[in-house]
Amino acid sequence: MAISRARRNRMAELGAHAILLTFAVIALFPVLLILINSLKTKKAIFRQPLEFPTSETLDLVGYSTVLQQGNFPLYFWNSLFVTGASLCLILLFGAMAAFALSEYKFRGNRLMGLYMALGIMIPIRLGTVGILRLMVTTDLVNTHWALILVYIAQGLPLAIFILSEFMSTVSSDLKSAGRIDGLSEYSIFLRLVLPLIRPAMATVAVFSMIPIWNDLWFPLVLAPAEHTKTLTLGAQVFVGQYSNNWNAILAAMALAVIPVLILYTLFSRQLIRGLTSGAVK
Amino acid sequence: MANLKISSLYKSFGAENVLDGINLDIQSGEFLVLLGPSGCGKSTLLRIMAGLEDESAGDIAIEGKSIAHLPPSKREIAMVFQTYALYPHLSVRGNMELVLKQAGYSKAEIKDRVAESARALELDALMDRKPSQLSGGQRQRVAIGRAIVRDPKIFLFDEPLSNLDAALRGQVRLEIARLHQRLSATMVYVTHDQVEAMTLADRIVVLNDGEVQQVGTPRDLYERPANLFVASFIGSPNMNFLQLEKLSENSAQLKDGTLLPISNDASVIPANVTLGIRPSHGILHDEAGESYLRAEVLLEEYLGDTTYVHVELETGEQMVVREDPEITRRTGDLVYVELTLSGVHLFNADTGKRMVVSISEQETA
Repeated sequence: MAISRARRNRMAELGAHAILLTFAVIALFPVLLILINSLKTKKAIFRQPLEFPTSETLDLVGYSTVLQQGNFPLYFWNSLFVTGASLCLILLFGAMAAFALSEYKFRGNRLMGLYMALGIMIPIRLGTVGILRLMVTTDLVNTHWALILVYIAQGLPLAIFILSEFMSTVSSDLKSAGRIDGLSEYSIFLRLVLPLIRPAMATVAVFSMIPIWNDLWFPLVLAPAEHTKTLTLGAQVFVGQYSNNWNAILAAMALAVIPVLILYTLFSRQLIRGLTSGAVK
Repeated sequence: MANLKISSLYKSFGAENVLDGINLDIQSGEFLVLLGPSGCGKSTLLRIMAGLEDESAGDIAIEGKSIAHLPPSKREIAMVFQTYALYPHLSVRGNMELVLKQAGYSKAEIKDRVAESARALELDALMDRKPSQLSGGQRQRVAIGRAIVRDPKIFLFDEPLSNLDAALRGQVRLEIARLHQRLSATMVYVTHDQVEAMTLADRIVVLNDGEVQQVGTPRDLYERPANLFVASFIGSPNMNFLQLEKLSENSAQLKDGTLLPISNDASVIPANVTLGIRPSHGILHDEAGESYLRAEVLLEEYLGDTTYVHVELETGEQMVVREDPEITRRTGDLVYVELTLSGVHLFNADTGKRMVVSISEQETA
């Protein structure tokens, strides 16, 4: 009886892993394809797209094009700055709003929460024309702040939604103890509540970061100038009307993956630490 | 050390009155327990004292000075919570230091005070641990230590033992009692557990539905409950209640016709009267006797040092009687219950109020 149950568990485990592996392969295959093809000659990309680079087909021309032609390091920095600044401000304002909504009972609290959640359902791109006019009027076109402001607005609804759920799970006794001990509301927020919802913050960071980093739409509309171009927009120079510089496009895409990978690793480690800190005594 | 006065305090959430005109005088150095079932408003009252919740009306004063408008940190109170509420990212030392740092004490004084409290609660060995590395009992000791360091005028305890297991509960209860003896500080303690209330309190305040039912020493409450609620809430197992058929000046007649020679103080005898008697005031006999109630044994609960016998009277009413554990009874046995007259309580069944009872003179003479 016990043996058969153990065997059944083993089978179930294998089955689960098979499913997970299938998904992983499907998800990673395009990334792998980009990586191996970014290292090959143009001919090889089209003739043997699925082959790993050999000594004959190995060619770093894509990377050298990307790094020499165009202001690639500048684009890289623009993307990094816009994403980083947006992310920090989304987390800060999102957490503050979530704290207020979950901690303070005021008239219209519920309504305010619903209003914030509305942003999850309505895509911000619908308002592009209005946003552009706003940015033109305020003279923010072709600045980093045009993008950062829009991305904050885009990221806040989901951040508030997720964080306020987590905030309400923080023990109210703890906050009361802080108040009795003379901590200000800001200290309670920063020193007691934020450290406890780190896993949620990591989740929100990951969810908010990726669409911002990958966005092409708003950089194209709001900040297409050379000095504010982001990586995704910058890579478009290699997309021609009649022919594409595939080496360069693939190399740019491969390079663009790196920061996302680094940030994701950082956050996911944080996420795991947050999840296990309470469970492992 | 300070006295605390609460006058006509009201609290309502929307249309619901949680506290309905509370008046309390807490003496300096007194250990006062707020006791009541869940939802009776006792925790809300404590949170209002702490300033964590606003009162709808009324006033709270420490040593004659109103504190109703002060934020929690300025009230010179300390609070110990059910869930300990230790700061998870700080060590035990950090937890105890925080309040003093906030209050702006000098480094040397902080060190002295923390060391003194740590010694008093035997926390010295734990000072550098994080709360997550402590057991439940140790966490509650740290929480108490955090309350002591600030040398507050009043200690507030919000069900501090509820999250501990039974064995630890007794131990921490003893520590709190000793702490009160040593500091002789004013303490207000909220609980729903009557054992904690009876053992710790100088005085108990019984609350129900946002109203004070009775204030008194544990002995007062047990021996002279002011109404049916207090009578049924205090004491374990619960007091037995029997409906009277008829009450006259010098006797009380039970539903089965039994006459008890007791008199009462009522000028107008109420129509419906409930007789209350604790399990320890009933005696079981095998033979019938005068004023004994015929009953059938339903169940016997053997607890080692005592036995509780559940019986059903001829009227269908049930009673619990305490008996010597040497005697065993079987379900269905016929017994006769004698009610010890000195243990009989009478309540006006309509208002719930206690009536003063005495044993009728002509019978005792």
